[in-house]
Amino acid sequence: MIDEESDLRERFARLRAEERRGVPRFELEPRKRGRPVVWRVIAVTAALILVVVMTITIRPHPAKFSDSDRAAVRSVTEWHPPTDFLLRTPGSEMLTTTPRIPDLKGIPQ
Amino acid sequence: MVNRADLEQQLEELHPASFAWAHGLCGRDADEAQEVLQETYLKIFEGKARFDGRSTLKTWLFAVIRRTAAARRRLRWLRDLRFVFHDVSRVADDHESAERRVIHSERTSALLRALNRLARRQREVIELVFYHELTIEEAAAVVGVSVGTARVHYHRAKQRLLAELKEQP
Repeated sequence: MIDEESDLRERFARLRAEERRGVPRFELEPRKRGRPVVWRVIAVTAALILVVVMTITIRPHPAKFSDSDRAAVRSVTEWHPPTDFLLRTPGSEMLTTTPRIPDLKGIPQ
Repeated sequence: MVNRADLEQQLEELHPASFAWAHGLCGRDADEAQEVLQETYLKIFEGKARFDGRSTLKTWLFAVIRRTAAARRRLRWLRDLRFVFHDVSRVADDHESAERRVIHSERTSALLRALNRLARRQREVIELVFYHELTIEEAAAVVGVSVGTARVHYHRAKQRLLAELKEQP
């Protein structure tokens, strides 16, 4: 196990030595901010436009009826079945009207 | 409070080790490692990352490099999806990159192949211990895990590495 570990250490040491040749020199460069900001603005604007378009497309619109639609609705509400008269029983108007109190003028007190 | 000149000098001394660490984190991509390092140094000088003296400067710096590399990895993922077009200061041209490209021997190539097969955490811990010669406690601080967890990663990584290296010719 110790041999294996020392072998591993030796391999890593060799890797370190090989990679040391590729180390760039130390330097500090100012950050370039121009392009990313422009692209971010474009991305945010595009996202906003997309949201507006989606809102307009998806939002429920009030239903619009044509004249023919209205006429069809009217004809349906005005229709009565031909056997409607069978439901009319004698004296049925008494159930839907208020009886009038007779005129008391002329009746002796 | 460390002044800028002192800090710059300390960072310059640690630069080879920092580059090697960034290099490992970036899958041995020298250009990406250089960009991670530039971003890290700028973070430090702009005061976005402050050394509070709770660990060694090297441990703290390695942790900042690791976080920066992780952030750039996430950004690259987004860039690959074409959501973000972020041409972050590509400092090296192709000529420089070619010069910097390291040619590994057969023996170290085998080690790198075995390292690539490890889980990210395991690879990070084993590199910190064997390559950068940190203690497991320091490696735990860099990776941001408990010492116990780092120890588990270290042992598993070592076992897997040895097994992989035995299989390879």
